[in-house]
Amino acid sequence: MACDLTKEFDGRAVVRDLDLAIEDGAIVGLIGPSGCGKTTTVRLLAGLLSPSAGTASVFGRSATELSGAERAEIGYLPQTPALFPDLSVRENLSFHASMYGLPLRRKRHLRRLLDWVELTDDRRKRVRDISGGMQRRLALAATLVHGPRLLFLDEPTAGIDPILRDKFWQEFRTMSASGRTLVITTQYVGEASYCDLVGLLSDGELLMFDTPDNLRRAAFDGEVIDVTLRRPPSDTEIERLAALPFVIGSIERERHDVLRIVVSDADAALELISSALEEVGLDVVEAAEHQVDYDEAFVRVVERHRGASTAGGDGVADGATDGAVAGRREER
Amino acid sequence: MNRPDGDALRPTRLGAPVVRTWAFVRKELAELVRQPRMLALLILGPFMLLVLFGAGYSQSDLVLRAMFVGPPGSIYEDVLATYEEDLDDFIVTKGFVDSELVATKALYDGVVDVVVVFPEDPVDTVLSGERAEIRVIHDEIDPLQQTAIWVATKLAVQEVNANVLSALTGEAQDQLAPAGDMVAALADRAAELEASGTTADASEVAGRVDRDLAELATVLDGSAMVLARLESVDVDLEGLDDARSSLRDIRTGMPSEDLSPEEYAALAADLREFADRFADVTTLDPMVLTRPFESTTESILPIRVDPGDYFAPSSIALLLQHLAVTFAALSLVRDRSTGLFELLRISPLSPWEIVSGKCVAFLLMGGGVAAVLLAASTWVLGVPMAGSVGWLALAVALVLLASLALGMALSMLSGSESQAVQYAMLSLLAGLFFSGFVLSIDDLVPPVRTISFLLPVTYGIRALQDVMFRGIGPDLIDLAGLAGLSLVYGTVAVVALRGKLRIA
Repeated sequence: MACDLTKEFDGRAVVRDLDLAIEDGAIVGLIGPSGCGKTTTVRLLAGLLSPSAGTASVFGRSATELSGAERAEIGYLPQTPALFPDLSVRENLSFHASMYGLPLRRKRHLRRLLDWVELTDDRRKRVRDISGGMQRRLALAATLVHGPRLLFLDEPTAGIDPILRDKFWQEFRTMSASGRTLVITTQYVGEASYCDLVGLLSDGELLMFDTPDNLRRAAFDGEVIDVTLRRPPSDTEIERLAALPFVIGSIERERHDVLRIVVSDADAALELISSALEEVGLDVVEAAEHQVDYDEAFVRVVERHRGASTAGGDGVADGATDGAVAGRREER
Repeated sequence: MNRPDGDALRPTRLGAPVVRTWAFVRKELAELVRQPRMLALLILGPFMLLVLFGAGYSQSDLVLRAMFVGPPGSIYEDVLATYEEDLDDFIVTKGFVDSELVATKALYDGVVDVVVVFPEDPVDTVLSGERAEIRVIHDEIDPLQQTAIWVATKLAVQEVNANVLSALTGEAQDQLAPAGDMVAALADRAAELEASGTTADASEVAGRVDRDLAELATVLDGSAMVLARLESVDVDLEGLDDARSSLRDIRTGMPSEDLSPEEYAALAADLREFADRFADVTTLDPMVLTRPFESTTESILPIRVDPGDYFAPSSIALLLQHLAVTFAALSLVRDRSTGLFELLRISPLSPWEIVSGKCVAFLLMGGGVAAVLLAASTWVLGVPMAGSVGWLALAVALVLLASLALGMALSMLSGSESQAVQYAMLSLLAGLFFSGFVLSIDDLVPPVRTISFLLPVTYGIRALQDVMFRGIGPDLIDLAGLAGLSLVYGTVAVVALRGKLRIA
């Protein structure tokens, strides 16, 4: 779908050498810090921008050369919803339906969409009189009004309350199950868990494009266990722990008597951890796998990338093992 | 949970372009209707302007208030007093004074529009072969008003000239009248000569004839000199000159003494003939002599057009152009600012569908505004409507269509709503100056006149005037001009919109 995709504005690359392959029926989430190129990527994929280099293709054709019928199979939700403030909620939805040539006898269809975004009771209100969140919901309904096969949704859940957000994601999953493909950008990193694939963007580069689980794993380059000790370990004892064969990454002080250890396999490591620590002279009070949340994973991967960019090389191992990382963690 | 696309509708196969165009018709109409203040402003604003203009415009403004300056007790005062009614088409007399200073102060004080200064002694000037100058002083800065003053004073001075000339001619005739008596006396002298028969009596009579002839020659030469300076009496001067020439011949050929009876008889015959011819010259009316022609005007128009009425079609055409240009220019710019263009780029909508949808909506709205304005002008303000409603509707529709196309083309040049408003204002100003609204487009030099033909209002004014005042259909050239502008501007708008919707 995207191959070496690059977009420059005024000589500055906003998206660089991006490669993506998305299968039909997948939900792809694009996450990344503000200004990382998420919206530009979506606009390139939707055919709204022509690439400076590389290609973006949709339905087997260049995204910028689609026919009218092919364009009608695409739904695009821009970050700023294209709504008309002096028209009512229903009139706005009807306008979008007409824009795609839907038959004029469509009352039930529009009603169903309004029900879904919980705007039925507000259908007669003018858009200028409803909240930003309601406008976002209306814009989402307008994007879906013509039943597109491929959806590009730029932050569809921004400003939506958590309950409705969850409802939206359930519906996105249902759409995906029915064969529709969704490319979604989001500022809520936790929403990555709803996606089949997650693309993590930073400074115009796609840092990783993988499953949500692998994103979490990638954050520490392995699985993570938290070990609570009877007493705080010394630096020498930690260095000896790092030499253990199942320890493949950093060992961080989560608290003074709690260590966070990156291992190759959490289950295997938990079976061996007690005896291994006793050999070092440490008593284990409790040991358990640490479930890395997406925010944490996101922050670690992005910071690691930025650190590496600043250092001019791969600084993953250095960043993971130095005391500064542990210090920052403790401050949190 | 309700599913958003449980049984998703698919686009209609054949009707999709109509539905897509209709989307913009409904949107634009709904957006306009939702702004009642703007609608009221659209309809009531122009109508109130028309009412104010109709009520406030007065043709009497073309009549100048004038104060005259001349020597006290001169002929001018009498002429002005006598012929005040003849002058009141151009001038309202605000007094006759003998001091230019007093009159100029009145001009500064705004009491009068012009001061007319007559020459001190026109007869001397005229007799010396010069035209006596009448000076007109004003303080008008408006070039149009300056032209009006020039025209009005020119006409008024011509009228004064004619009246003075008439008076002078009358005076000349008064001087000629005794000469007429003298000529009659000459006829008597001729009879005396014929009857005298004796040399002594004849010589005495001949002596009296010689004195009479000398006296008559003096009178005729003096009158001829005055009349020769007054250009409009050429024909009669010819007669007078003949008389003088004949008189000279008689006097030259008259023997000094010892006339024979045949010579007395011949002299008597010459005198009689002279008397007959000369009597014709003195019988002309001075008014006919100085103003041989008069004019009357008749209009072939089916209705009478008052000054206030005259501007109604022009105002309506200009307002319609301005409304349509503003609607169209703002609409597309606003759509762009709402982000709609992003959606349009990946929707199946074509630029033609967008432009035509908007045009239909604004045509309906503009047509409604035009109908209200025209109906109110006719029924409330009493503006004449000599032509058919069908022609009127066609002219209005074409003016709106061409203006909408112009507005859409301008919107493609606009980066923001404020720029679009500026362009609309520029087109309004261009309409005021170049459409024939104020100045005739015939007064514009050809390269500049091109601008006139690029403005829908130019054709609109002529078309509406034809229908409303002449009672005929619009000129084919005007209809073709409007249709051509619609096509050209519409194509420019569509091509430019296609460019804007092209992927960056």
